[in-house]
Amino acid sequence: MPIRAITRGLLALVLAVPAAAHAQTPPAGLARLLPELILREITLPTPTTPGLSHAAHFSPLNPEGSADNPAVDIVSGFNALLIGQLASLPLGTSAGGFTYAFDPALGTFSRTSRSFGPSFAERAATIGKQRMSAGFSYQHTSYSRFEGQPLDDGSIRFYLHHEECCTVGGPPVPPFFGVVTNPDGSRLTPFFEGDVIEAALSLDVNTDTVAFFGNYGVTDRWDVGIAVPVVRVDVEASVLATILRLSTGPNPFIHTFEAGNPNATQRTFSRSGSATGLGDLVLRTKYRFFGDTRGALAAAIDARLPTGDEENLLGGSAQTKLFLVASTGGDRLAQHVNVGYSFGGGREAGTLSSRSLPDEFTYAGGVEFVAAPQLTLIGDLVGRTLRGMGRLEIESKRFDFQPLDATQPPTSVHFDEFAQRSGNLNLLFGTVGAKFNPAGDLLISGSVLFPLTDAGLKSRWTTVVGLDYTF
Amino acid sequence: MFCWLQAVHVLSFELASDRVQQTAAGSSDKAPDPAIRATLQAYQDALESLDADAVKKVQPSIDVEGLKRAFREMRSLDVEIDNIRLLSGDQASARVSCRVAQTLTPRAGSRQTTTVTRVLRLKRDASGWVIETFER
Repeated sequence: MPIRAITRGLLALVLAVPAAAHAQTPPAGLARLLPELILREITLPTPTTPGLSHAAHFSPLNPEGSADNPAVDIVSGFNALLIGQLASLPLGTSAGGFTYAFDPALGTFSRTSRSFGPSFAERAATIGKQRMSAGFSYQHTSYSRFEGQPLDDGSIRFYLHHEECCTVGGPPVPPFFGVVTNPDGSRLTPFFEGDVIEAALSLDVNTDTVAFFGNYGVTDRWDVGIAVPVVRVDVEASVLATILRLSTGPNPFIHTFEAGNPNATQRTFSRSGSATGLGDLVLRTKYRFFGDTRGALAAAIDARLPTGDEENLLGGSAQTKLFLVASTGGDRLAQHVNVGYSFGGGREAGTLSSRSLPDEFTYAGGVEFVAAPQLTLIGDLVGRTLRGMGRLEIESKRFDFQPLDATQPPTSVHFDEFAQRSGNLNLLFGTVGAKFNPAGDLLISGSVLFPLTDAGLKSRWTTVVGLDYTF
Repeated sequence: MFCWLQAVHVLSFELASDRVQQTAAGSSDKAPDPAIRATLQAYQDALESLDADAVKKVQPSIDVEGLKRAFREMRSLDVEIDNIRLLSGDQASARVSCRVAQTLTPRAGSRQTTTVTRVLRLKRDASGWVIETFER
């Protein structure tokens, strides 16, 4: 039977991947890949001769580093926003069955809602007492921009301040640049603290999700269901680090990526990893208060369990979503509206401090058009407001430094960098798709989800294909 | 008294038909011809057997293709026709009211039950009574 063969094939694919994939997972987990890369791994060479080492002076996560370094907040905020959206990527919905009503002209029942239902929203129709549907979907997403900036061309830049050094146990002064043991915290003393490393990030993030769905009608009005996602996340990051010798220009041997080579001002640092495993299970229930296929109202709950590995961006966030579903429709055209609120309850990994997944207001609305008895075309708008998630905005920041020539006054330059802002993150997506009934009670679906806003982490077109069978 | 009358009606109905039932009629309604009840029994049987061609024999005006499409979606259909009352009629035509209860078990989707009171016109042709149309 083709369905069984396809299902077995996909299961084999899903189950075969993890061993190899986990081997590529960095020890700290994908959730900390970016902070580790940007805040720890950008180091200068250790000097071969005794004296002051500048190796870790731009690495706030190293043991001598300080979490007070401004770069920590910026990179952590970037990482939190990134993984917060990855962890809560919406799943496509199960088809939801076939519906009937009495037709006086025929003297019996006929299928009045010939639509097969939406893709990224719910309709109020329930599957019916003791009926069951099962299926799976495959969803691929890659990401192109972050807060309006391209992800993959180095446009996103972080500026790593020099650590406050030499406060305790610093080496004696000359011949090492006149270091004193009591810097003033202004990054002007010693003078070389004025240098900065520009970290230009190129990031490639892809997620692949196979979600298995089951839906059962406890009564004619009450459905229960489960969604079991298996998620694969691939992250490939590289940072072009450039030493900006604001204060050490005349002495290029102090900060260099190659000892003794004053021209070694740039170096690329890379990290990649992937992880595959069980995502967050979703338990679903829906109750239809009243109405039939021509117009109905239902309430639903999605309980998301933190079964995914949060350290590897596979999930790990508990969330309870309550929502209302209204739908109406005739023979050829049906409409649906969903409005809901999600209560967050998990913790995001990768941030330097614990942080709950934010509450979320969700809404969706769309139409289903029956192009042919066996073909439904779907169009939807799906909105999400992640409350208090925060935003990052490009801001011109001032960097002070003391030129090597102590007779010169302190000066400053400005660089554009992300800055954290409080507030909600509003996302809006469009979807178009189709569901096709090739035979019997089998449904094949295909759709694309595309972002309509630039906020947060912006995906390219998310493609979803699925298969449902009603028993 | 009411129960006794009902029992008499049911007994007489069972003689004409083993499934189509007639309950106590209103005082102004007449008992339908047993041949009419037999036609409704044939209509019920045709619906239950999901046989559109058999329905057409009883109701020639039916949209056979539409009915076939509807039947293709069904796993089974249970039909009960009762409360049959002759509203008016003569040797060639009749106007009958009845209650039709149907329970659908679809191939996919929920089991559903509906009960409607229908008024239909019948006419007598060479083969006997056939349903001409449903008024409601």
